Amino acid sequence: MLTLTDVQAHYGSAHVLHGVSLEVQAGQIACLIGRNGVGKSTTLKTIMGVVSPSAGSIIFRGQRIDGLAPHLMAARGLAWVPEDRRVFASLTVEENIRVAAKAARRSGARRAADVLSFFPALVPKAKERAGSLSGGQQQMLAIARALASQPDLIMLDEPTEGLSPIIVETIRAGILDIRQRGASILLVEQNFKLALSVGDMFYVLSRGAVVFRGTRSELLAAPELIHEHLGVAKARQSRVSA
Amino acid sequence: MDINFLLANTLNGVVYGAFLLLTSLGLSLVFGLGRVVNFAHGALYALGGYALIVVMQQSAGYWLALVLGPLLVVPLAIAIERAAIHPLRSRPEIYTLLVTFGITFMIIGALEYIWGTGTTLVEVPSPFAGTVTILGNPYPVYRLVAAGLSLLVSATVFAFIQFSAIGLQIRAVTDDAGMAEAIGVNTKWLLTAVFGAAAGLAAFAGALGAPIFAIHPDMGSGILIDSFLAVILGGLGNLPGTAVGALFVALTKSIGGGYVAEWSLAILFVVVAIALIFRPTGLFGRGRVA
Repeated sequence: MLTLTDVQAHYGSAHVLHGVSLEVQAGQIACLIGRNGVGKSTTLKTIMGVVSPSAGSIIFRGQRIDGLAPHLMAARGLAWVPEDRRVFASLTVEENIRVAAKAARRSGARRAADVLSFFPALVPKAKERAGSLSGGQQQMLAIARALASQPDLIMLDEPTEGLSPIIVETIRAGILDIRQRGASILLVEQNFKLALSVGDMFYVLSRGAVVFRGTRSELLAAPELIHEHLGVAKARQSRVSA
Repeated sequence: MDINFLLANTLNGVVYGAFLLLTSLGLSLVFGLGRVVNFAHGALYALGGYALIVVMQQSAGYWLALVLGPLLVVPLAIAIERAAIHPLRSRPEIYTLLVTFGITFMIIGALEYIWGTGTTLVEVPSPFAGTVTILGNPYPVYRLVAAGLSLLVSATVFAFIQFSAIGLQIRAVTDDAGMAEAIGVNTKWLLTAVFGAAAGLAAFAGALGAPIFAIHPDMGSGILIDSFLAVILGGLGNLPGTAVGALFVALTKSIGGGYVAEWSLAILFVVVAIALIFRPTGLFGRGRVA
C-alpha cells in the first residue's frame, strides 16, 4: 500500500529525516513511535507533500507520490489527521465533512451521516461550529473529516494527545473500526499502551531514522530498545504487555 | 440641526456604503484566502470605469457596457495574479503588498498615458436621470438604483460563499489554507479565481459609480483606503464583519464630512482607531490559523 525508501527531508539547513524506510500493508495498522522531536510528524508531512523530500522515494498504491502537491494526495486515497487537529473552526461539523468529501474528488466519497457513524457522539453536534467543540470532539471530527473521502490509507498524528481516558478509548475504538471497514492506518502515537493495543507492525524512529521494525511480540522482546528510544521503564513494559 | 442636510448625507452614506461593500468584499476575500494585501484593488476599480468607457465607445449602451466592461478587467487581474502574486505566495505578506503597490502605479500611469489626467463624465442612463422625493427632499434616482444593484450583487456573493460547494472551499481555505490543501483543495487555483472575481467586483463598482463619482485615473485611491478601513474594522477575512464595516465607514465619512468636509478622513481614522483599541481584531474579528 505505502512504501517509503530511504526518505530524507530538511527544514532549511536542518537535516530532519536521515533515511526513513517503512511499509504499510493493506488492511494493516502500522505504528511509528519514538521520543519527541525524532521526526515522526515530519515523516507524515513528507508523505503528504507538505514537506518536500530531499532524497528517497515514496510509493503509494504502486505510484511514486514524492514531490506531488498536497492537494493531489486526497484524490489518490491518502488522508492525514495532523497533530493539532486543525478542524475548520468557522465551519459546522457537517460542513467540515462535506468540504473534505467534495474536495478529494474521489468516487465513493462518504456522506456526512455515514462518516458520523464512526463517532456517534458527533451526530448531535452536526450543525454546530467546529470551533465550539471540545478537544476530544475536535479530534473525532478531524478523523471523521479524513474519512470523508473514503481513503485507502489514513495517517493519524498523535490522535490521543491531551485527551481524557474516556475519549482515548473512543478514539481507539474508532481506529479499530476504520481498519475493520477496510482502510489501512499509519499511526504516530506517544501513548505506548494504545499503540501496542492496536498496531500490527511497529517502527521505532530515532534521530530521523528507523532503528527498529517488527511485530508487537518482536517489539516486546526488545526491552532495552523500548527503554532507550521510547522512555518506557522495564517494569512498566511488563504491565503494558500484560 | 438641518434635518434635510442630515438626511441627504445619510442617504449619500448608504449609497457610498453599498459601493464600498462591493470593493471591500473582494479585498476581504483575497486577504482571507491568500493573506494577500492587494493594494492594486483601487486601480482595478478605476480600470472598471475606463473599461465602461471603452465598451460604450463601441456604440454599446450603458447597461451592456456595465456588464461587459468589468468582464474585460477579470482576465487582466488573473494575469496580474499569476505573474506577480503567485510567485510570491510563500513569501511574507509584505512582498505582495509592495508588488501590488507598484502595480497600482503602473495601472494609474497607463491610464494617464492613454486618457490623460483629466476627469471623464458619464451621463446618467436615461430611465434613471431624474430625482425622487424622499421625505420632501429630491434625491437622484440613479444613486438609489446603483445602491440597490450593489447590494444585490453583494447579496449574491454572500449567498455563493455561504451555499455553494466552491464557497464552502473558500471558507475552509480562509480558516486554514494548509489543511484545506491537505484535504484536496487546490488553493492556488482558488486564489487565482477569487482574485479575478474580486477584481471583477471592484471593476463593476467603478463602472456602476461612473455616473455618480466620474472617472479619472486616481479615482481608486480614496475608495481603496476606505475599503481597507472597512475590512480591518470588520475583522480581516470576515465577510459579514466587512459588510458592517463598509456601512460604518461610509456613514461616518459621509455624515461627518457633511459638517466638516476637510476633517472627514481624520474623523474616520479616529473612529476606527478607537474601535480597534477596544476590539483589536476588528468588530467581528476571529482567530485564524496562519
